[in-house]
Amino acid sequence: MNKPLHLQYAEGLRSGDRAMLARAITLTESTNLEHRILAEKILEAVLPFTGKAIRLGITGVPGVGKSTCIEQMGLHYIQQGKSVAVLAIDPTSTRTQGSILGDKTRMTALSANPMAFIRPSPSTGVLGGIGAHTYESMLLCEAAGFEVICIETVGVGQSETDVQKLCDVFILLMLAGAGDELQGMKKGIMEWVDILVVNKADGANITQAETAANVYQQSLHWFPQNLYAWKPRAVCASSINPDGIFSSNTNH
Amino acid sequence: MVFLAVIQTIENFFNHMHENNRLSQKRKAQVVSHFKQLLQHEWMQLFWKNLHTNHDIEQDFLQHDFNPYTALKTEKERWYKLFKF
Ligand SMILES: Nc1nc2c(ncn2[C@@H]2O[C@H](COP(=O)(O)OP(=O)(O)OP(=O)(O)O)[C@@H](O)[C@H]2O)c(=O)[nH]1
Ligand SMILES: [Mg+2]
Repeated sequence: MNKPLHLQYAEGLRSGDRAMLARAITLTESTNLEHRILAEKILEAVLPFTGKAIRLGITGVPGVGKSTCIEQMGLHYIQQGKSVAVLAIDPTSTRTQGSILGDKTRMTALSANPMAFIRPSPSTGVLGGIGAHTYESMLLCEAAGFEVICIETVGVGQSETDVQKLCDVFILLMLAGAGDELQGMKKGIMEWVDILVVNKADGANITQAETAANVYQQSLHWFPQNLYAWKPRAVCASSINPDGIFSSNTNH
Repeated sequence: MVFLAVIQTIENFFNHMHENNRLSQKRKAQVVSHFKQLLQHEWMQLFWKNLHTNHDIEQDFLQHDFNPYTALKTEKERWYKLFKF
């Protein structure tokens, strides 16, 4: 009599039911076999409706300003009439609780916006690592009609190499003057970068940030051109500068 | 409020990727790598080893010239059968 469960899920999330979407994502993250099977069926049912979003991967060391940046970008896209889903991936399950709360509180304006959906997601204890279930969560968000997907990861572990396999554009946030910030990052990360953002380019940091962006832009030239012939760009940004972002370094 | 430089660069990026089908090529490659990752699940690996000793998933996968989503579906169906889901 009743519709099969996976079709109820599929319809629910397609109709914009956020609770259904959240539950479907939980199923994809589950290690319970029955949950996985249900998740697979839901995914199958919604696959034709996926693939229409732009997928942004945002990475950088803790505190570089990823969440704040995502919030501002998210609000920008919402202003343009687009709905935004954020998948925030936590590097360790032990840190999960505190950090999730932190991110949620930081993205206050975004999480209060009906056009946005924010979902923290564990990176460990999940079959196949983050790549497997984040990919699926992303597909579910797309099926639910989200047009912009932002995936936030901390740039220190396996999760980035995974994330660059999921997103269309890989955005790395850095700070000017931190000098050896790359040392804490996964080796080779620069090769994945599509857009390098020198963040917190405000107040006393402005000149330093512009210089840093120039230096990074130069060094990005030394990386072999990627498969898709995109030349990586370095730009400055600030999430707190009310005038928004001033000029960027894009003369290449 | 708005990150003109970042937003603008993202827009340039997508304009670039929409030329010559680059974006769908990139996504196609990502689906392949997604499956490779799924195959790394211990249990999957075990089944895979037993059932398909010499099978090259990537070759097989790339042979369909396909919409990745349809391929994903087809591939999953095959896996369900294989793994008796
Ligand atoms: N001056 C300045 N401060 C910023 C900017 N963006 C973020 N911050 C501050 O930097 C701190 C960290 O910002 P978050 O956005 O939480 O950084 P995050 O990279 O998401 O941090 P984790 O999620 O813990 O890895 C906060 O106190 C922000 O207020 C910026 O553009 N300029
Ligand atoms: Mg954060």
